[in-house]
Amino acid sequence: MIAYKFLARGAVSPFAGVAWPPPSGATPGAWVAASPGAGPELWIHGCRPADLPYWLDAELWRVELSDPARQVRHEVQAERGRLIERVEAWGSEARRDFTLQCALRTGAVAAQALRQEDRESEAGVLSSCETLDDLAAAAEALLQTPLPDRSRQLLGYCGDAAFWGRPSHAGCVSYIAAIAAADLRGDPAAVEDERAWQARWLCGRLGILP
Amino acid sequence: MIQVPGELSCKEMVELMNDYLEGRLSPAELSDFERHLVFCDGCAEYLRQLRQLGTAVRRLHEEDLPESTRDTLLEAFRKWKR
Repeated sequence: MIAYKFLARGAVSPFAGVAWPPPSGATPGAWVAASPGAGPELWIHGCRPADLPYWLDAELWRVELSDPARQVRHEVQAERGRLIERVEAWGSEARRDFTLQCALRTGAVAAQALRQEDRESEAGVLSSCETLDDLAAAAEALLQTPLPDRSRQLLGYCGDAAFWGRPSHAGCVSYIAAIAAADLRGDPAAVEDERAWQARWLCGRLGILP
Repeated sequence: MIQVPGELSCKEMVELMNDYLEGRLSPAELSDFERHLVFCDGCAEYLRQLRQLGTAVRRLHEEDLPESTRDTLLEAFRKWKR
């Protein structure tokens, strides 16, 4: 099956440290196989489009996984895999934009909490943020005022999202956005909903069919 | 912070580090562990340091240690056992 795989810079797997053979033109890279006798958890891992937000890293590749691929929560596993082509659209600009969107959505979550507490003007300040600096400044200023604990917690997430957004740490900021959404709703299922939004954003930006 | 099923805390990550390095995590734990590393630089750095420590310790032999260091370590271990 065709899937996707995030790798660290230089097409190196982030956990095992394996350097994946790159493709040459239209010829896929050499197959990379799991150790003989390894259980499926140690097979080659890939992502379906919906899994992308959970595994963000520097490079994104289209990969071919050998059949049969095993579909499990947040990933697919196969005994062998090979790189087909790099998804060039996932570069520093896309990573920066995605990170910003996740940070601003964290701000929107905090604004929603403030509105639920009848603090419309404070919510408006957050909703008008367009940059990480705006978000950091707004969160810091609001945290100087007396607010209920839930809003303070969510404003803390805004500060964290702005902080980790500056180095475009997409993995961290997207996680913060997902946790903020769950905190607002008081429902862990909101994490999956936010991750689904992130997957749709990534697919749309990167030209991947969801 | 809300508890999300399948999301490990940093404290749980630290407790699982050695099992991860020794390949003893269950499939579900392994996936949860590696997903945590994607967003948590602190745990990723701690894991990197543990790997480095393991590599360094494997290179060390008892005779490489100065006698005073060996005695200090032995004393520390004896006190720890008490």
